[in-house]
Order: sequence, then C-alpha cells, then structure tokens
Amino acid sequence: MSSTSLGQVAEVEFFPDFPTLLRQHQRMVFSIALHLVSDRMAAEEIAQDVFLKLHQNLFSMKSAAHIEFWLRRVTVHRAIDYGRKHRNDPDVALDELQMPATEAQNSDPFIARRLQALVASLPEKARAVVVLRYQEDLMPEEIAELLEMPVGTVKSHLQRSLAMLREKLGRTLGEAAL
Amino acid sequence: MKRLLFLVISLVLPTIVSAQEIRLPANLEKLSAKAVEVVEVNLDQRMLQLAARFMDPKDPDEQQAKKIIANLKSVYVRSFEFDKAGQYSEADVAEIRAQLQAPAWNRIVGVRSKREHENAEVYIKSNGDQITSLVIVAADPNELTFVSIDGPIRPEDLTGLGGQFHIPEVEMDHKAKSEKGAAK
Amino acid sequence: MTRFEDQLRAALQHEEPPAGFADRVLARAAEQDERRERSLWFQFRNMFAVHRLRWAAAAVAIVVVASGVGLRVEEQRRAEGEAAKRQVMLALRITGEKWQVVAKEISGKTDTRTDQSDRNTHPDRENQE
Repeated sequence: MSSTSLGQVAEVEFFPDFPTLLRQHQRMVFSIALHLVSDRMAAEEIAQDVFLKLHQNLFSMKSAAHIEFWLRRVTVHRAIDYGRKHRNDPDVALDELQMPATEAQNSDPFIARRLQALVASLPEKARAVVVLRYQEDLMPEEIAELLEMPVGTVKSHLQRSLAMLREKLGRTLGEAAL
Repeated sequence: MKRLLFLVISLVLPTIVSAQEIRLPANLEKLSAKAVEVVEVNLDQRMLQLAARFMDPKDPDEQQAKKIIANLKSVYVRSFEFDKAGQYSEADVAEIRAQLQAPAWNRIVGVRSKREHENAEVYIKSNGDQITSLVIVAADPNELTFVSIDGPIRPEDLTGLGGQFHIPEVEMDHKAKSEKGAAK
Repeated sequence: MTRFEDQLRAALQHEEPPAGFADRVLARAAEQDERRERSLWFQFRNMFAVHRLRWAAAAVAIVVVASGVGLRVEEQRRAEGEAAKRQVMLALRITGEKWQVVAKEISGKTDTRTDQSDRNTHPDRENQE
C-alpha cells in the first residue's frame, strides 16, 4: 500500500475487533521486534506500544491487509528507533544477547541460535530486510514498499547479508553445516 | 474580515470543477513514528450519518455539528504534533500541495502568522455558488495538520465554530458582529 | 530456496510473546480509552451537557470489549456511533482552530488597513492642506 486516499469511501463495512486482532497478530509483532532488537523486554515494550497505537487508530484501518501492513511497518520503525536510541549502550557479546527462547522446529537448535545472533549483528536496515524476507516471507517489492526504499536496495541488502551470514556461520560450524 | 473572505470566495466560485481525490502520501504515515501525538479522523458518509444519529437533540453544540455534517460526504483529519521543531520537512507537505495545484482546486487564502508561528492555507473546490470541498493545510514548527472536507460547506459554518467547541471567537469588525447579533 | 535459507527461515520463525502479554495490552488499551475520554470531554464539559450515565455505559462497553467478552450487536452499534460522534466533534474542533488562524491573521491585516485610511482623513491633516 503506497498511499492512503483521503477521499476513499469504504465499499465493504469493516469493523475490526481489537482483542481479536491482538490475538491474531501478537506473535508476528513481537517476533519482528525481537529479531530486530534481540532483547525480550524491549521487544515486549515495543510490541505493546505498537498495539496501543493500533487501538488508537483502529477506525482508520481499511482492511485486514491494511492492518497487517501497518503493524509490520510501525513495528519495524519502532524497533529501528529503539536501536538508534540505545546505540551507545554498552556492547553485549553476541552470545550474551537475550536470544529467542523457543527452539526452532525442524532445525538444529545450535544453528538456529547462531543464525539469530548473526542476524542481530547486521546493520539495522539490512537486519530489517532479512527479517521481513525470512520471517514474514515478504517479497522484495513488498519489503521495498514497507521500508520505503528502492527494490534494488532491498535486493542488494539481501544478497550481501546472506553472503555475510553464510560466511560467518560457515566459519563457526565448518562447511559441513551448510 | 468576513466581507473580505466572502469576496475572495465569490470571485472563485463560478469555476466549474471535476471531482478529484486528495491522496495522502506514504511518506506522511512515517511521521506518526516521530510524532508525540497523532490525531487521525476518517469519517466517510456512512460514519457521518451514524454520528449524526447520536447527536444529543438537547445539546445546541451537537445540533450545530449535526447541521454542518448533514450533507457532507467525508471528513478526514491528520494532525501530527512533535516534541521539537524540524521533525518534518517541506518535502513532506509538498506532495499534498502539488495535488492542490490541480485546476480543480483554488487556493483562496494563505497566511503566515509570525505571532502564532503558524502557516495556514485554505483550498476549495466549488460548483457554481457552492463550495463542494475544502482542504486546510496548517504548518507550524511543532505541528502539521491537514483537514479535508468533502461536501457542501459554508464559510459561515466554519466561522461559526468560533465561540463553540471551546474556541475563542475572533474579533470581527463591529458592523459585521452587530449584523450577526441581529440575525440571532 | 537453498538449505541455508531454510535454516534462516527456521531460525526466524515466530516466537510467543511473554505470558500475559495480551492481558497487559488490553488493560493499557482500556486505560488509554478512559484517559482519552477524560481529556477530550474535560475541555468541552462546560459547553456540552454530558450525561454521566451514558459515558459510564460507554466506558463499561469499552472495558467489556477489551476483556474479550464481546458486545451484543446493539451495544456495539451504540459504541460505534458514540465513537463516530466523538470523531466528528474532534474534527470540527481542529477545523475551527485552523480556520481561526486564517481568520485572525486576515482580521489583523484588515484592521491595519482601516487604521491607515482613517489617518488620511484626520481633521488635523485636512486643516494643514
């Protein structure tokens, strides 16, 4: 969604119910925040703020797709802002980061934790692109619209980030892991 | 002042225009993340009619509001308040202003108030003698506001908001004021 | 999709938020509604006759929605209508404020022009000519 029409009249009645939306999207919002800031407490704070903002602006939501787009965008922006505010916080070693608690299914948990830590070490925009691509399964064009950056830049971030992640994981595990 | 505004409006009213939507650019939505307070009002015709049904018949202000919105098609407001100046740029506003340069729109008033540190512009569309759409763009260092009203509206309805809704009424020239008083 | 990308996808799968997250959000949302009601109508309370029972009913209706119990259709419609009315009053207040900026500025400029024209017909000036 690239713009909101001020003059649009809703064709279909849309009455979003906040508690239902909260239950439906809480994992997505919390996970985007968590994978971007790597801190469970901060991720919860960000996720709470995002849902409260949704609650405030509920009447302006036009559709379920609009809500999903809006939630992802606001969460990413909030997480990036949080990261910038806390940029000067004392450095934390990658293995000390509060990484996600649940074990990844169908995957080696050690590799999953290592990848989570490596994603956390990416620059903020690249990290957002990787999370939106591999957590949310968004296509580069959708990511470009959400982050307001050219599609070429999104693809470039993906290419460089994947190369870097593979290389660093490979060094940790040895080529056999890949 | 009232006569001056009406004179300006009457000079541009004869223009026959076609309907166009004003699109709120995506870059404005990102201002929400920077703003300490965001006001967003989206009322289409259905919601306006629903609101009108709930206006208290014993409340004169709500009855006045009901009259104002009676034939409106939509009311949209976006207002961003920031904790410091410089949180938005001219480019953020330019895309909306560009749409208001279309032939359908007439910029009837633009004021730059050093006293209030606020710039405000009023654009209208009209059909014969009647205003059919109104957009207000108000920018001050810490606040950016857009108001879009689609539907027949009279300037005196807006001027009449002064004194109601807790807004101090503007001192108009004495003759106009006494005419207004006599009309009541 | 390569095996590496599968591993990345698995590493970035959705996580459950901490226990009680939804309840905390709903509680804060209810507080937010209450604060907003008090803030908006505190300004207008001298102008509007607000029936306390109706607002108590609206506040209760909001809390009921927040607790997930749900509203009957009729109550939901009323809540929606009242919310729409609040939005109308808010929109008109903001519109009026911004219109007043324009009106005030023009009024000031008109007064200045009137003062200047008065000066030109001042009796002293006429006597001097």
